Amino acid sequence: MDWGRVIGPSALPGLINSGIRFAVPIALAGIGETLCERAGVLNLGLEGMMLSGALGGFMAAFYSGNMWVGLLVGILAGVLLGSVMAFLSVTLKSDQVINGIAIVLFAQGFTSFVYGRAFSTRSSPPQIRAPHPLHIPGLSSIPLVGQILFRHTLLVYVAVGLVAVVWWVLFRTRLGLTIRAVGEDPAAADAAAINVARFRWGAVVACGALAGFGGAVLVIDQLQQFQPNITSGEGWIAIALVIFGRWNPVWVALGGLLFGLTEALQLSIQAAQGGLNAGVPYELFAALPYLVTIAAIVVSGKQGRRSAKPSALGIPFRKEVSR
Amino acid sequence: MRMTKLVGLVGAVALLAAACSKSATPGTSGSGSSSKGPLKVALILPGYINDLSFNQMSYQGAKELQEQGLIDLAYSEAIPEDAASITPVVGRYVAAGYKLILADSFGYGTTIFSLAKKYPNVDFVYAGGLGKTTRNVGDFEQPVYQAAYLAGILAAGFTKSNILGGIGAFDIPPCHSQLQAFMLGAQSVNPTITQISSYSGDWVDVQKNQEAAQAEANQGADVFVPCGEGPALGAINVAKASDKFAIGNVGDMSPLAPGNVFASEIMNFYYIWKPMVLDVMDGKFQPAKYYKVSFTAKSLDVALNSALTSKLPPAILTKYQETLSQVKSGQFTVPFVAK
Repeated sequence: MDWGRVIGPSALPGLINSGIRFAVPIALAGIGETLCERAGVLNLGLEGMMLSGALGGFMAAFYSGNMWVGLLVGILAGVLLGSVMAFLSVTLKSDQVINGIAIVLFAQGFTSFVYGRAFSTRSSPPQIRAPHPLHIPGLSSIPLVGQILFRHTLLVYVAVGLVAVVWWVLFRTRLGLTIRAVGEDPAAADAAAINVARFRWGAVVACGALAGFGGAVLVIDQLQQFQPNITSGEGWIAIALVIFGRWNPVWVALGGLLFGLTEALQLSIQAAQGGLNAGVPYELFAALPYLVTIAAIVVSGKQGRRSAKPSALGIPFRKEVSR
Repeated sequence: MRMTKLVGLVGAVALLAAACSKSATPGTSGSGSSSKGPLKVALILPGYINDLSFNQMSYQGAKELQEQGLIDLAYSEAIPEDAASITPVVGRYVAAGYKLILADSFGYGTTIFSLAKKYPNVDFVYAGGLGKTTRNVGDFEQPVYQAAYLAGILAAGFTKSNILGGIGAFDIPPCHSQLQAFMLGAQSVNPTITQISSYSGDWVDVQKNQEAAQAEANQGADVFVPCGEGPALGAINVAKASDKFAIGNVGDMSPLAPGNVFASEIMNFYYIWKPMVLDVMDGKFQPAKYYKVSFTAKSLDVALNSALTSKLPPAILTKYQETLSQVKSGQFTVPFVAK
């Protein structure tokens, strides 16, 4: 096999850009989940929120003809499901695992139903226009680096910015300290006159917004179409990456990039070795990104004696009433 | 600690669910009214009826038969292929008096063979494409590779790099033979043409299939042959975005990218379902047959996008027409390379 066709200088930008495209929606959902889990709520509804964001974003972009309207509606769809999750998990204090799974199942059925009813009479699947990549003047013409870093669509840079913002909020602001306190020791936070429910609500809704945005970016920025279950499990990957990234948005995003690059690499290797009558079974390649993710979780789990996991993760907060 | 275990479990569940979260919700719809006239036929589909591909063609063919008053049609979309999903659907149709059940996926096979024994008075068809039949389970051919060969002849006129790209969901005989036939068709015009191929491992994930096509484009491929709905949507997206070419899979996909999809492999299910329906009506269905699908019977076809194919050199179009008539007359047999 000719490795130059996979990682040679002319092939490298294509490979890395493909990895970045895989990573962006997963990373967006992943940093949302990080916020939410830092506040002590385990949101397994992430996949459903991405899927709803994808459908909401697609339909709004399709009918309005404007991708920004699409992105806004995608975010709102995520916020809506985030509110449902927050109401069930924070206000009603019911089991977070069950709430999350219920939200995914609901979203899978509901989005397929709505899409089928809205578009099933059309002779061909509806499509929207693709946004143009920005070629940042000067920087984009640097050989190799320019091709890899400075020729993406605007939304890719927005996603990178959001990772930085979420990191900054979590670790450099009073708000972030409060969020972490609420997830680490809600009783102590409560004693310090922090409204635990309010901050958990906020974190879950923000998570919904980011997941909805991720789903909308997938359909608007990359695919220009919706299909039932189009996110195909990316929300679940994002949840796994939060554990891998030890509840740090930067590491979660980098984990997304690792997953995306492995996916891009395996597809590229398959093509380079001919594919049709390849020596290595393609099933092995298809499993590679998941194996790498598992390995990464194991390695990161071994790192550091102190667990980064929020202590109150998954536990509903009930205020102790003294008698 | 309890929570540590929970988080570990969640991680495992998350990965597992990611690997197999393609299930969809069943939706049933149909029309009532049973009389002596039309035959009650139920169509069970693995995907959605507006996919421009296998599911849509299957549904449209059945709908045409209904419009002609031949059958009374009910259908179920997006039914997963496991026994637990399909058994109750079949059970409901049998209880409602449906006489012919078209279980339109390869993956339904195992379940359908056991259900057929349970309901001996109902006739079944499954989309095996292998010729395995029993007394009341029929099968039909899926010779899409023959259409792929013909489209491959045209592809020789569209490629500039002389590298074709094949994207299949899985390396199963229908996909393998299709990708191979496409390459052989192109090589019959220009033997220096090569093809690179990959398998995405997923029928529905458009993003993954799109990136698979993109990886091939990065390595020089400029005409794509997809096998499966996700691969087709992904490959056509890449063709559209970077001014390359692709063919449509099982249905006419040129509306998706009129400037890039120059031909589509077609299975016309009206001509596939009709002989089965007539056999059931005449009481001749059992023992069930392996139904032929061919260009001659109009059940197999290549849809040309004439806006693009009219620009081809006349020699290639002539070669295409000659080969088509040779396949029809039996003078030429398209090689079936399944492995």
